[in-house]
Amino acid sequence: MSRLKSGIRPLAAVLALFCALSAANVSARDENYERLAEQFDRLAADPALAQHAPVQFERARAALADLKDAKRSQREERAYVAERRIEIVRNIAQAEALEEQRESLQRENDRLQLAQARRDAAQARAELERQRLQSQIRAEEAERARQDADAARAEGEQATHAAEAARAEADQAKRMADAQAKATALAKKEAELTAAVNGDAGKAKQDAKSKAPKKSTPPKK
Amino acid sequence: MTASHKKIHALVAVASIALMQGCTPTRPPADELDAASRALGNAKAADAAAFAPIDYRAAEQHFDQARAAEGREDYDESAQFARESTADSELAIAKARLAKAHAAVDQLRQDNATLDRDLSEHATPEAQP
Repeated sequence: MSRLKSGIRPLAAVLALFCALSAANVSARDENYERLAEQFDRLAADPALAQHAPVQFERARAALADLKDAKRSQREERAYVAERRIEIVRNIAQAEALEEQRESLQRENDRLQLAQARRDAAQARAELERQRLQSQIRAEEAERARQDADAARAEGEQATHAAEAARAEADQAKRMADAQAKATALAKKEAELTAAVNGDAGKAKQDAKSKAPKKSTPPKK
Repeated sequence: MTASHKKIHALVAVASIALMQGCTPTRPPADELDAASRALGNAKAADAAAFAPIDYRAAEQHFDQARAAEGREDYDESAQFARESTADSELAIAKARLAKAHAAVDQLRQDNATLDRDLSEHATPEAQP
């Protein structure tokens, strides 16, 4: 009996030590698991994130279950993986929320760009209309200037014609005056010659006077 | 020690060896290594090295350790490092995606504010008095 008792004592001590170590390991495992499970639960309870990343949530949940069931040798690795899976959930859920926001902002951006394009087109149309009006005004001014120039030119031509006519009239009068003077001189000479032939100078002078042609005025235009 | 005790001890020893053999992988963890390699490639393609350098570097280091353990024929450790590398790569990808989404949203907010200001300051000709 005493031999049996002496054999049981070391066995009991080993068992007690084993139980103590097991309890300590379980406690450490539970502590790690509890910490990560709490992180996961907080994410799952976040209304802004819980609706996103369903696949990543599922993988994180599976990683936590793996950690819970892990043997001692696997615990460190599984805790590492579970912690990253939870971080992946957080990042992907936030990214998806931001991507939704980006889509909304992109729609707003499209609307603003359209408004800007319409504004620019309206400005371009207004500028075109302004230039068209300016062009029309310039064309009208040019037409008026052309008409004025035509009128001035016509007036100039008329003046030139009048001057030419006056010059021609003056030439004609001069020619007539010359002819008159020539005729007078010839009549005088004829009278003198006649008087010389007849020997009566006094009478000849009288004849010359009576035969001289009367002065005529130049025709008026 | 009686004969029956000897038999029991032999049985326990055989069972322990069998159990250890059952727990230790006997082949290279090809699936885990392939998954880790793919994840690392995806992380690289997602510019994770720039957006999440710490996690990307951890993924590379764990992958190298997985390869080294495979070389030592320590397949259990190789599989473990490969799984850690995969998790690191996926976290780096997630962080890169979040950083890009942040940048895109910030850029759009800035663009929209500029457009809005421009439209307010330069109204359409029809709207002008």
